[in-house]
Amino acid sequence: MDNKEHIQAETNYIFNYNFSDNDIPEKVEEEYYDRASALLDEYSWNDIFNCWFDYLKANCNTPEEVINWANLFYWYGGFEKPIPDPYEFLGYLYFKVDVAKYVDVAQTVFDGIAIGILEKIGKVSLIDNPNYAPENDPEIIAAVERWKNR
Amino acid sequence: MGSGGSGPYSGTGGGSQEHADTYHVVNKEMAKDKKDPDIYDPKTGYFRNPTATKIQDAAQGNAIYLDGNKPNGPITYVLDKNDNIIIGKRKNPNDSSKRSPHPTLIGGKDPQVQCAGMITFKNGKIYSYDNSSGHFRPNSKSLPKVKAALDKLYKENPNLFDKGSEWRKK
Repeated sequence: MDNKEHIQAETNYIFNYNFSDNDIPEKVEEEYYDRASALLDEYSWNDIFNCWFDYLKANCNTPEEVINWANLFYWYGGFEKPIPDPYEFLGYLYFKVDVAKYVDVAQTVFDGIAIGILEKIGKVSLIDNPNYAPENDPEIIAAVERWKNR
Repeated sequence: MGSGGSGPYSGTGGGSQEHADTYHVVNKEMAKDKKDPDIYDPKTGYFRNPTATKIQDAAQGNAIYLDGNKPNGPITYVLDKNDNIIIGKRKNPNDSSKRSPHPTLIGGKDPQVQCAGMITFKNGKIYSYDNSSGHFRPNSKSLPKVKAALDKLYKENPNLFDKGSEWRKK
């Protein structure tokens, strides 16, 4: 198995997890988390991110599936990594999920992904803009429109 | 938001307040909030965030639960005058397109805190904390008080902290 195949196999495994199931035994939780951490340690983030994003686009169609993917992406640490085209990525998430309709289950994690990524590149500061809401960000809105028009 | 406590934030606007035992809401933010009925009522002040809870009361087993779920993302917190860490979701119950600012974790006309910022949770476990509050702008010298409160929680149950947090990272 070459690197790309291994990244794909691990991605398929770690994203096949129901994040909202609170009855998953802690040992199983840890196993998924550790496997994701091992993947991040072993391969380049660019290769991993491309695989994760492709997985999202290919396998997650409903808002619920996208929210589940987003929760895993966050939990596994994706929000701390540099994203090659952050607005394209964030725009895709907000294109697939109308966060206003899924506030209770999506707002916190979507905020976390957007703020985590954009703070790192100096585009957002919760100190300068404490009321920042990504779904109202003109650059994210523009990216959503681009996805709608594809 | 790293895996531990953050030093002075690097905002592009005004800086933090001078170090003090407690902080009031900065004038600029209070003035804005007073114009927004979804955040501030002229008679009662800041509404109380309905998800606001003491962090130790939110612990169930080896995870924190907030509003019925294990938080996964940045959650607002304040350290109140009694050394309690109060956490709450940013969700604004009055308008879902807005957010609930830090003062709503206490509520009232002139809420005061020892520190405030964001605690990052990963699947119900504490990952990191900082002093990112545009409303209170607490000095980074107040962060050790937050660390002390979290250290106390760690002693009670280390499993409330993520493996990648400063408390558990090898």
